[in-house]
Amino acid sequence: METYRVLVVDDSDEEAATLAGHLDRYAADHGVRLQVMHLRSAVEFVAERHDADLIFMDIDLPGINGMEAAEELRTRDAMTPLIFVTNLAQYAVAGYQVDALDFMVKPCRYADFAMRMDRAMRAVRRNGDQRIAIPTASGVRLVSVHDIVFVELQRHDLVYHTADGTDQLRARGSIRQAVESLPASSFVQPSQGCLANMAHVSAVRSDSVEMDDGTPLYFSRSRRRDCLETLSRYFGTTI
Amino acid sequence: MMWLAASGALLFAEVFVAAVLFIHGLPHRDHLAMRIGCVLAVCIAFSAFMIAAYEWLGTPLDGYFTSGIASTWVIANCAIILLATIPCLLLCFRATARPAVFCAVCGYALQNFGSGLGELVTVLAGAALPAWLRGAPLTAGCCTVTYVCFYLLLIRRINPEGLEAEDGRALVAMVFVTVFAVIGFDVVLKSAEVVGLPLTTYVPLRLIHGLVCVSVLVVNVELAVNGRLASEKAATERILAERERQYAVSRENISAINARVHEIRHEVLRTLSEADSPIDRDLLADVAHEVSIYDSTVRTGNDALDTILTEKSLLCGRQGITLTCIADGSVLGLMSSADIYALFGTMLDHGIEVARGVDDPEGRSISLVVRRHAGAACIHMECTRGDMVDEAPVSVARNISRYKGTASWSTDEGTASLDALIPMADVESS
Repeated sequence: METYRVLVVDDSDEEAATLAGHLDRYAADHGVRLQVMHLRSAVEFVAERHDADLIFMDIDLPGINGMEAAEELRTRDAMTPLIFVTNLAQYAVAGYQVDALDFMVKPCRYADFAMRMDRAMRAVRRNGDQRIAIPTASGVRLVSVHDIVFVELQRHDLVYHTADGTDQLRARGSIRQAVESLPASSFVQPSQGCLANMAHVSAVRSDSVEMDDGTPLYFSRSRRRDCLETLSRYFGTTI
Repeated sequence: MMWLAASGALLFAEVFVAAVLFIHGLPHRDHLAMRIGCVLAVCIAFSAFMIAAYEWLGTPLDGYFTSGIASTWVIANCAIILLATIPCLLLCFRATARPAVFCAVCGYALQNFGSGLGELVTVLAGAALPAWLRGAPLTAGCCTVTYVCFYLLLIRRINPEGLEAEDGRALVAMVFVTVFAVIGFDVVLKSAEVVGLPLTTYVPLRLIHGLVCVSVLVVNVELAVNGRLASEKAATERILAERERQYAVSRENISAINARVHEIRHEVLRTLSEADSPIDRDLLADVAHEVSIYDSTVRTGNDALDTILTEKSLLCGRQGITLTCIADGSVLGLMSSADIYALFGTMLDHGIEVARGVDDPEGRSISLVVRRHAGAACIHMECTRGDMVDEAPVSVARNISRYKGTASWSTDEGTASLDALIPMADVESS
């Protein structure tokens, strides 16, 4: 059973205990292990680096408020999902500025919490490291799925374009084989001959997606709608 | 007889092509080639119908434009072609009835303009016109020139996705106007030409027929524009009315709070004047409750979004549904206020209906996130749901598709999600 580290930043012990109770119940219901750590102020959070897979942050905190702490977090970590837990709903509306996943209003009820936690866990699992084996001419290469920007078919070979830009791995195979080996929740197929890693899409246009490395991948007419729908579900953390 | 069948089939094809010029901006349905094949089958069936009708009605139709029966039959056939174009458009394109009727009426008027031009050229050129060019080839050529000119000048500026708001009754009226003013007038002119109407009378009448065709086009487009403006106006009025309501609520609450604060001030002063008196927690709770109304106003940076979210958050509050939103209103700058109000109003109404299906009153929750990601406006609404089987409202996808985006609805155990994406990178880079 995989263990996920959850950080709760709240100056109220009572609220933190409520949240911890919800986390324990969620862990039991869903068969996951959650290691919960509690900090009482954003100052503590900012002063020392606390590695976590998921962060619950109150906004109204003594000293530095939660929004400011989240801004500091995002200067060094753009990936860790963040959920605000607050009475100050007005300030949480602007949570997009720090790429917050969601927010919950205190007092937080379990059903409300569980819905947002499901979404948070999808984001957490997306960050997990999954590797695939690519049989190239020079041997089998173990590659992290995160590092694959896109895959294209060139004649009878699959060409894997990786994030550092220098590596293009070439392996015999078909796009169907690539589709079966890569997680469906992370890759989308704009046309018959390519697969795109949605985490590396830098721009979505009406006729194409642009990848991190600047490569445009054009939609085929029949796949455009499905691709945009898949991208919308990916960006919305529904998948 | 074959000539009749061929002319009927050619007319249908010309009208359908003209109608497609108006509707081609909408996405077409899958397996388009097969659907076009079905349209051709309709064309052939119509030809067969004309042959059968001719054989049944017999010689009165020989005088094609010289007898009342023949002329009436021609008008009826043309009206059938106009009406048959509508389901053929619906078969090939993802459209609803209103845009299809609009495009069929405009297509017929355009075709008639082109064929009228061909008639005029025939009459004016007289014997100078080569025999091989007379009739169908000249009509087809004039229609082609007409279609190209009108496409460049007018048609490409019309957004067929904006035709939903056109008044249905006005559209039906335009169908009748097309049948009688365009088709009927054309048949009368052709009859008059056969019986020998002087050129000095025929030419001006043919020009008037052309003007009638253009007028039908212009009136139809104006009706569509007016319909859209009326829809925008209604949405703007709703926004203004909601703002008035919010101001009224705020004013009432300010008065109520002032009165209550006045009482509280006296209570606090009385408490302070008594030595060792306990803190009245109920009094403090009262104060917090009175000022909570000011927390209900949502501010996202987009007025239309603020208005609809504030309205729905108050509604959810009254129904015991938790609604939270993280929203960057600036990403919706491409959308009109009317569309924003309609889109989020429909989405949240549906979310409220789904959340109300949850048996546990404390388990009813909606989360809304609107933000920019990868150069696109991303909208995610998630809500708790009961056992009801639900589907997203069609109008949401239709609204989003106007901006070349997509929307999809998905359900999981206990939750339902709506995800929408509107690419903005094209507009921002241009």
